[in-house]
Amino acid sequence: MKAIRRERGQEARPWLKEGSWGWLRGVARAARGNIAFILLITIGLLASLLSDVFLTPQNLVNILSAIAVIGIISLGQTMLIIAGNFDMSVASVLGFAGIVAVATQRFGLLPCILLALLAGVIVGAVNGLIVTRAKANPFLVTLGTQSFVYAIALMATQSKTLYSEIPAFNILGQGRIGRIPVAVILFLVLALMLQIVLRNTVYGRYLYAIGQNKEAARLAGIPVDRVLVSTFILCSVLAALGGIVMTSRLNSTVANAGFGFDFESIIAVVLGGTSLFGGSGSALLTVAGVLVLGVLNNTTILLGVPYEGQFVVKGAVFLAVVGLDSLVKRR
Amino acid sequence: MSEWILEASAIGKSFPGVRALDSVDFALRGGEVHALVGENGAGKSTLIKILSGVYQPDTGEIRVDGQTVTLASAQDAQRLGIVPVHQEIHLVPLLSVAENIFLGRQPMRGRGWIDRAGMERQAAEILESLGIRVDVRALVTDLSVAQRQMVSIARALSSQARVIILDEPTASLSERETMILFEIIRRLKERGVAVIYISHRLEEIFVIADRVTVMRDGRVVGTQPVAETRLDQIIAKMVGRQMSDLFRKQEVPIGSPILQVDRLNAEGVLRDISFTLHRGEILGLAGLVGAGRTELARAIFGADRYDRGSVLLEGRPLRARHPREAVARGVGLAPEDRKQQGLIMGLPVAQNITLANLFRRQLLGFFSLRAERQTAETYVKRLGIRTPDVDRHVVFLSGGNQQRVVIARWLETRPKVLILDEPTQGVDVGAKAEIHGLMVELARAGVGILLISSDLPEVLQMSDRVIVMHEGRITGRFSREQATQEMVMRSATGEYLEIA
Repeated sequence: MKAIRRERGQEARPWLKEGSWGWLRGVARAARGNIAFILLITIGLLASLLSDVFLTPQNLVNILSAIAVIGIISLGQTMLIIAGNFDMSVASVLGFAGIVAVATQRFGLLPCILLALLAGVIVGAVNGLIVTRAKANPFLVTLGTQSFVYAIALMATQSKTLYSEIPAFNILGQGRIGRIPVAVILFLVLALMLQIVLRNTVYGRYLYAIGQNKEAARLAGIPVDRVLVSTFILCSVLAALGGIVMTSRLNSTVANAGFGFDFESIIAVVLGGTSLFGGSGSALLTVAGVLVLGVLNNTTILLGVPYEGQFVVKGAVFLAVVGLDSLVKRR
Repeated sequence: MSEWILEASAIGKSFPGVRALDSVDFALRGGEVHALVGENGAGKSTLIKILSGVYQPDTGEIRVDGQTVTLASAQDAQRLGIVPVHQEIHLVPLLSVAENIFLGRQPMRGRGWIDRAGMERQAAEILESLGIRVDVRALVTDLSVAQRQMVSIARALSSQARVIILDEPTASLSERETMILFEIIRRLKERGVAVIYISHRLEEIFVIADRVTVMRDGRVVGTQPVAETRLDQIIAKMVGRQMSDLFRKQEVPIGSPILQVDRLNAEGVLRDISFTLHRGEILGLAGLVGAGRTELARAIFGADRYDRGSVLLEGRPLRARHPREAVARGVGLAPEDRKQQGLIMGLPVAQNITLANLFRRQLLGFFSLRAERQTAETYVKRLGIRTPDVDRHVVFLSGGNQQRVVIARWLETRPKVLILDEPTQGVDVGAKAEIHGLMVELARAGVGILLISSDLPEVLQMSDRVIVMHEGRITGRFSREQATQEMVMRSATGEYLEIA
């Protein structure tokens, strides 16, 4: 592959794409911003052709319902990825928050929810402080906290399942407004709020700046460390919220409830079109990515693909999108 | 056998929306040093990239030794002996000089074994022939910038280069290192190697070059022997208008002290730095590369820590541990490296302009996108930033325009003190004068400006007072009348000359 070596110090011509793979790069760039929508439409079309059930209202609601929790978590992940970081501990925070919620139910509905969110705050703060103070790799740090939190969750539950006792607690996970589940509305409202924050607030602008060039952001007077720690906290809190919703839906919680959600949330963000390198992206793109995941899952189930097959499909799509992302963003 | 080692005829090259080169002719003789000058955006880099195989021309042809060739890649060009030596030096830091020189072309002994002794011997020979005094076993990471550049040239030579392209080679060199470089170039000439020499430092052309080609707006304006032309003629060709005098700074009233630095110390970097900056004053900070000027700027701005000493802003202590504190108090810093530190390349012009001041224009965390756009457009007009619109990512702007965006950003913060680190480096002549004009405007508004510059004429013209640093200490203080190039240079090389 003929790579174009771009020397620093000379004018960059990013639109230039020379070499034998140039055409693919052009296609990738055009597809990039809209990749989720293209995928959605393509897979949706295929699905509706291959299955009569796909386009029924009930099925569509099912899709939305299934992605609510992963959607909430992906929103938090989006913020961190835009700022150039990752959070691999969301999966265990999800489980842990659910456990805290159930375990403290005797204090009342509101307190137990708040305490579960507080658990998210604490883990997020730990993540953020280690990453910023020790200047350590966020991927590795959060993998560390993931193990740690999981261990605590296992010990607290003695590896058993805990059951929810307050009926009111189930509204989040099982309630509906009209035909739409409360969880879905919560997800969409949060997505909208995040979108506004990203576009219209100082904090949101800072996220993009830091993700693009941390040092230049710092020299412009942006309090980089403070912003990053806040973002880690917000991401964990959203993961905790996801855990609460999931527990509420299943009436029960277990330490590994969030298994796989760490990678899935990143897949969703990348599928939406946000770059893994940071500095770009939006909440709406992530919603699209989450929808694509949901449609993919749903389609494979409707078509009777065995359980293992789902992972193959997810993996293949993920690789394709990551490959495109690198192709386009290659410096 | 042609007298021309390398020729380009009627070269044309377009990019989406831009005609970078229009019917360019260029010819190079063996053993000549051919200077290539022009403002930023004139087409020099594009031409060089075409000659070294990185780009392919849309029209026209390239001939090497009279034979038409197609340079489909950089490797093709290298095989024909055309080797660029970049500003960004591509050496492997943890390998030795000899290993770097022969990287990818190591002399072998038998199959698969590197002939280390032979490699070091040949490397030493090449360095010797160029008069470079560097140990072939030294690690590149231990070398100075100037030495690394010389190793790059040696590497080019080792690959039997016949045309070596030097792009702004003296940008980070001291006067003495520049002289050494010129000596190396002379030796290259003796061996029949041709050198294409690109530089914004026009005075150098008259020292080292045989012929000079001036480019403007993608065309070649003229090619002449250096002996038959003058500096003002070259500048006139570059900008298309006569520049009788370089910018003359007008008088600006100087007010009360605004920044007082007292015995600032940073272990190994700054030694007892004390000075006062007044409102409306432009204080020039001169010195050689490595003298500690940028470090001083960063210490005041809060980007780096210091050990002892104090900084007073408007009489109150400013102990900035993070740039945020300095910015909040009204201090701005335009860093030397504008692309990596001064701006965020992937963000639009408008966002770069407002970035440092957003926290003052927000209400409960929210700010108005429309107001931001208006603010940006005001600056674009006022500073003459050439961009189709404010949403363009700054990476697309030329060097001079990028610098204007940097200045716009700091103007927006209504600073009390502005530190400019090499503000006109890599900026073309026209934009340079405009930036100088902006500085005077700012001074008139009462801002105190600390101007760090390696461009002596610039320092002497613009400054009300000059302080000179050498190895972390202040070795010279001059008033405007007393400062001359010679005095400043003497302080810069270590002589204590405190007059003002």
